Amino acid sequence: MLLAIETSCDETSVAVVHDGVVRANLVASQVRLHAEYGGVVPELATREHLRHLAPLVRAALREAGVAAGELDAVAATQGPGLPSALLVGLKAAQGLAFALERPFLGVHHHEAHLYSPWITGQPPRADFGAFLPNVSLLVSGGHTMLVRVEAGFRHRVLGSTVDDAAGECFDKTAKLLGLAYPGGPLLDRLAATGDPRSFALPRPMLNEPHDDFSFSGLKTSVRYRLRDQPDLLAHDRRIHDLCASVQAAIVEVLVSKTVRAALREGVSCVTASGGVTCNRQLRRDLAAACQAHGLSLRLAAPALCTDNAAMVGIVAERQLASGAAPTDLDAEIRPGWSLTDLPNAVR
Amino acid sequence: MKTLALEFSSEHRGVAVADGDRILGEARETAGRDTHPFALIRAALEQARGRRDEIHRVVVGTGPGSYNGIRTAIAVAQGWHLARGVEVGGIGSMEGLAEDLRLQGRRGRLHAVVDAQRGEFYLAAYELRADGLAIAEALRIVPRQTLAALLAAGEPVFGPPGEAVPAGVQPAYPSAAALARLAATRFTPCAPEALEPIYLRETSFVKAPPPRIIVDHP
Repeated sequence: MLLAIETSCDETSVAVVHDGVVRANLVASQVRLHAEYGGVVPELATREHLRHLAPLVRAALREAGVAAGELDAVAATQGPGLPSALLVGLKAAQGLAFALERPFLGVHHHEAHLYSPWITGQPPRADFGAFLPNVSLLVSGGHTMLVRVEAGFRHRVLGSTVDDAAGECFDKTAKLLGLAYPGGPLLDRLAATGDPRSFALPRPMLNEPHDDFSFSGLKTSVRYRLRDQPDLLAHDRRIHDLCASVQAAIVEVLVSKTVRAALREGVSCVTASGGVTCNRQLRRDLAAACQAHGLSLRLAAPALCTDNAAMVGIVAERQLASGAAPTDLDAEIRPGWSLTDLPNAVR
Repeated sequence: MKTLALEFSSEHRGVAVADGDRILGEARETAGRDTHPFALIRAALEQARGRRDEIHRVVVGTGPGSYNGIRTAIAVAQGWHLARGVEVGGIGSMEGLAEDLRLQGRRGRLHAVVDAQRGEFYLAAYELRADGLAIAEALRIVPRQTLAALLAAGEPVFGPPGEAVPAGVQPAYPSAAALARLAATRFTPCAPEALEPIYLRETSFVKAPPPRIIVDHP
């Protein structure tokens, strides 16, 4: 039985996992708090983590039907993420592990996302028996990257964004349009009734022969469009069309580059995870493209796309089961931890 | 009943284990910026010949001071509570600083100061007597001029040294042992989620303009 804590950004999450089954996965979201400020305020996020963590741990243990003393191990996200936010979850988890005299494991947040598509069903359960070497699209408000996952915990970063993450582009474009934060999901909704061909927007780095991404130019293009056509915002129909066009540009780049990388790498499977994987067009288009190219696709379940402790717990449990050494209890947070720094990373 | 005291609010970080007001073990670190809570706790417990499951209470120095240090202590206390159901509570670190001076034999009135940045200081005054400590002036934020006036008047002012701290301030640090001694007589347990650093300054984050388009979140 393992308890996992995730506090890398603005979600406080606690999970209990046992033998690959998620017995509890609770998330205290701070979205409403940060909406007032138009984005995540790290200091406020940290204060909220301190307030929410203990009640959430108690609730997760209750839901899982276990007492703290029955835990075999404790895990937490060690990085990357907001430094002061990471600190709260990491030190509380280390305190729990120390007081219980149990092993502790610090988990890489992106590595947890990479394996979240292999958690399925209700209750959620790790399905690593079905694991296939894959190219994984990890796409969120903070990160956009393509990773080749060769086997359990052996992966190679193929490319990542050189500027804004895709989710950041969604949110910043939504902000330009006057949508509330976080605007990405709202943009998705407005785009549903818009025409994606209405505005010709750039598809940055679409045809360049590498796996990196760039989304800041797309956002700037929308800004110039609004500067030159300020009356555009007065027409609902045009706003919906612009949302659909922006979404189509982002999704086309993500899908095309992911499928191209999978075909080039010779894998038969594509996975996708991270908050932007909740985007409905991305899920649809990725499914269609994979089907057209004979690739199998595993998308993280919507509840596991955003930050959550279940994926942290599943990865930690599997790592400990495969002989990984526990993390030093005095290990520090690693806010800038890169996937390429992991011991099994392939360079 | 054994108490574990965690005081990480200044660059002199420390952990103490006490039985009532008797200090059984203490460990400190001053090198580097990273705090190693568990190495310190292990060392203090070893000195106290104590075990982790003998700790019934964790007291935390709540500052003011380094937010990272204070939050590290709070998070460790929360984790310990969740694991073992121990009592947790906080005591201001400046009281810990004044109590440490009292335990060293100092008596009478003194001021304790900590750099609050932006040209301001946290300031409080204490009356140190043989039988204990009393708050003479409550903790508050003051401008540099207030501190300068106290020093010019020859008042005794103590606090952790720092670039912004005037030369007349005599070096002193909050200590975990002093915190544990204070806890023997003035500990008030609280819910772990209620533990927080002392926040004296109002937050002033810039709010976003209201959205132009209202769409309900899915």
